[in-house]
Amino acid sequence: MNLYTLKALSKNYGEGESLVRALRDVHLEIPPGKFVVVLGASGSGKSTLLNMLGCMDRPTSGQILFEGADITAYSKRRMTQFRKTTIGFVFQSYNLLPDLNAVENVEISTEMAGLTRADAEHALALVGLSDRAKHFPGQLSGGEQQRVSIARAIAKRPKVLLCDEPTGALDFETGIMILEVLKQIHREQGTSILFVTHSLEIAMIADMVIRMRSGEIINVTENPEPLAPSEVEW
Amino acid sequence: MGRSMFRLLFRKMRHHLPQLTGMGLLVMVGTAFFVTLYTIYLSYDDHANRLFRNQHYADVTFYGSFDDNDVAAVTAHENIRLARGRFVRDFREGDVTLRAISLTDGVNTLYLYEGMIPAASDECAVISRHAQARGIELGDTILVDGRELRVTAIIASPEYVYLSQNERALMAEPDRFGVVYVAEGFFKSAYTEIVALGDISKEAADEIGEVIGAARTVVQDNQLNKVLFTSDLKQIRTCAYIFPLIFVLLIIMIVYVMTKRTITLERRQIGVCKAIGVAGGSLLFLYMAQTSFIAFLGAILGCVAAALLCDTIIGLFSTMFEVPGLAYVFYPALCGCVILAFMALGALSVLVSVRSMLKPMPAEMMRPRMPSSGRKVLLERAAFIWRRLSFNTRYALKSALRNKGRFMAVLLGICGSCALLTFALGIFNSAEYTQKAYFDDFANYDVLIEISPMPLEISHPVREHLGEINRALALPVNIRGDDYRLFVVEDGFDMQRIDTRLIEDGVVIPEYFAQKWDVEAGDTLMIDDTAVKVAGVFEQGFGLSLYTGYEYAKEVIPDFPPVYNVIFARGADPGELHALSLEQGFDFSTLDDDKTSLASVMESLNTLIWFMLACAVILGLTVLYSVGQMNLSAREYEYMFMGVMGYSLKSIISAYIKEMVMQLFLALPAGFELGYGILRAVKTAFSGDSFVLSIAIYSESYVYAAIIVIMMSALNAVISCSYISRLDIAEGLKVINE
Repeated sequence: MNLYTLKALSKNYGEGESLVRALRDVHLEIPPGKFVVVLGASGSGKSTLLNMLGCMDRPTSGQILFEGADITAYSKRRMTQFRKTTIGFVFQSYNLLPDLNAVENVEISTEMAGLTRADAEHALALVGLSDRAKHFPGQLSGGEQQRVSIARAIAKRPKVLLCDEPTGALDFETGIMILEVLKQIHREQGTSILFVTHSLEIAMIADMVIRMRSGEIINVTENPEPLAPSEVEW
Repeated sequence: MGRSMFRLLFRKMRHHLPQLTGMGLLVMVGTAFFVTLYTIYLSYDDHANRLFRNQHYADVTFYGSFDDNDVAAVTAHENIRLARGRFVRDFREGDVTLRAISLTDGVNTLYLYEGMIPAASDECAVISRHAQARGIELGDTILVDGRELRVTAIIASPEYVYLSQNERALMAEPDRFGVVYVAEGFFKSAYTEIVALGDISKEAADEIGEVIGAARTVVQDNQLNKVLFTSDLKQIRTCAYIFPLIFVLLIIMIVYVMTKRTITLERRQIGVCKAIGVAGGSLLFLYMAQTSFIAFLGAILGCVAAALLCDTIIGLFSTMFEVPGLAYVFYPALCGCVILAFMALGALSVLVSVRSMLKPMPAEMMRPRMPSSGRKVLLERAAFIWRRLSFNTRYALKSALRNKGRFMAVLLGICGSCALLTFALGIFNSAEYTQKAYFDDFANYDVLIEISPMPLEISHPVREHLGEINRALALPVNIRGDDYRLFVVEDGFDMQRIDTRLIEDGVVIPEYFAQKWDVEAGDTLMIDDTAVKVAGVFEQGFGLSLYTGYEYAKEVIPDFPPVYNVIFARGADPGELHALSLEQGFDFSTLDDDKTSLASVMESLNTLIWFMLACAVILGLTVLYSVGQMNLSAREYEYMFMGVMGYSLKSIISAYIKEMVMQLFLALPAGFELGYGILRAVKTAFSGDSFVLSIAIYSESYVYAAIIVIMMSALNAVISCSYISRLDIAEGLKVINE
């Protein structure tokens, strides 16, 4: 069974003259366990697509089936539950809560999923930040913050990790480090990863690449021999 | 709710410390005010009623001349449990009037502070307030009716919770009026009163009074002492409600504005929380719990402050009334209810402002907000004025009107504070005005002499010692179940400013009674069983009575006796009258005595007024400071950016001050109006059958209120300007970028 099946998915913002069609009649099938890159320029609809897949927003029309279940028909409460248990998010601007330190930022996620502080500490160790656990976001570098953000996303062991340009605000070395962490999680935990980027180079590490333009999917390609993050340059 | 949410809750509170502190302070002051006054209300009610119960406060008192047969007749009534005859008489000793009352076994018994109940005819018990004022102690000797009495007890009495001498001297000066209880053997005449206990209605009491030929029958609820007690309870309770109501409105406003701003600032964080699966309820808790927690702390501190304040306030109130054992009592239910109410208020105010946060999907919350479209302010539409304003002034005006919530909160804060100041000063003015209106404009006599009824054609011997006089018959009358006094006055009566032309056609009544009975000039009013015409209505603030002429009284009252029992006089010598009163056996009171008595009532209001003024200042400072802090944090980027653009600090501060002036300009008149409105609304609580508060706010009070509010705003402006001057342009821009 596919992880995701998208049927005629559309999303509009605004109305009348200011109507923006962010997604137009998208049909797509994503198998489970893949590292998928959604590639496209700014405004191509890739972040909107990610939001729909993560139940962060509702489509204007169409259906999203997650493992066969229509998540677009979910109630708000069920959508929250879905995000809490099934999805992990990593954002470009980290979005850590400034009032919580690194481990607490992870713990808020594990608590939601009924896990323990030890799980949070373990996730933080996975991204190599055990020694920075008590630091607040304001005391961490961009790369460290993004790793905390990844730890927060993976700590609850989600089925899918949705990453919205997680390397976009980072320098090259840090970006590579983040990619390596994600690859490691994909490999070791078998988590499906959907990674939004506008970087062609990053797309080379994916098992599957979805190209988007103006809210439409141009093509979907399989990458039989994905590169390791250390082999990529941009 | 996990511990992360609690952690987040307390850490987030640090960001809104000035606003939350402001809110907490408002809750604290509101709670302290309410709990203090309400505790006093409950405690006073409780203690006084206990005193009435334990000391067997007479349920009915008959006035007249009685013997043991009359007492037996009263006792025989099925609803009367116990009746006792007693003697009551006022004696003047120098400038002191002493009321001697014979002891009654089982009715109106004495509360002993110290000593023993007098047993011999040369012993007496002295009411404690008089004893304190005159420095009288156990074993001392006092002079009553020329006889020396040894003080055997210092007491309190259920019938003298208020030291009322009569209807005009509601609260006599304790050093000039005292009550002494003497053994029955002191008097050698007929009883002047019968006091009785029993479950008896006013009608039944009147019937008994008729049977025994009582001149007047007064049930407990109509006793001056009880009337003052009931009216004071009402006043204390009304005051307890007024201030907190304004505090509550401001708390709602502050919490609403603060939370709205917080939600705007933390929009993205809320989106993230939603994205990671935090439920709407948990987010709601996060914000509601902040204000509820602060409300909880504020209310607890308010209750503690009330506990500390209560005894002091009760001590100040003790100039008005005396109830043994009256002290602060902790009412857990009252404190609990107030704490819960403020917590709920904080939570509900948040709920109203964060409802909008619950609806959007996480993605929407995480997207940057669309910048609000700048709209023209009202004045901008008047182009001919707008064009003439400097850029700085236009900026100040637009800034002030840009955020309606903050703008309204500031206006409401200034307005509320100004209203409370105006109200507190207004009560003071009104009390003074009422006093002035009566003594300077209404009353035109020097002494009022009460004599035994005497035919009109006979002149009382005291007449030779008086200047101008007017004679009158003071008749106790019953109107709609309550007792009042009707003065039947001679033609040309000018000792009180009533329209004497009207009394030929009917009865003239004070405006307060007209409103109470819903009658006006030309209507008919039932006095006892007689229908009389209301000939006119006049303003009277004190010693409220009805007036008519002898001719009209003869016309409408069956068997009306052409007698007089009161002489109003001008040009009398009180010293001479004192000697004559002992010789000729009459009572008299001077207008100066009444004035002193009323002045002491007014003095007792001062305590409450100072308390209210202090609360008004705290309220004003708190609101101005907390909303000012919100304004500053919302606009610090703007001020910094103005600095980057080359604006001088002077220009920025000038715009800030212009904004403040505009707010004052709008809020002060509204505050004056609101203060006046509150005063009008509570007028009835401060009025009764003996005293009617006339509403008056002197212009200087408006000026004082305005000056205080302007000073508070100026203080807040100084704090804000100092903050603006310390803003670091580079740091500020960096913060925004983050």
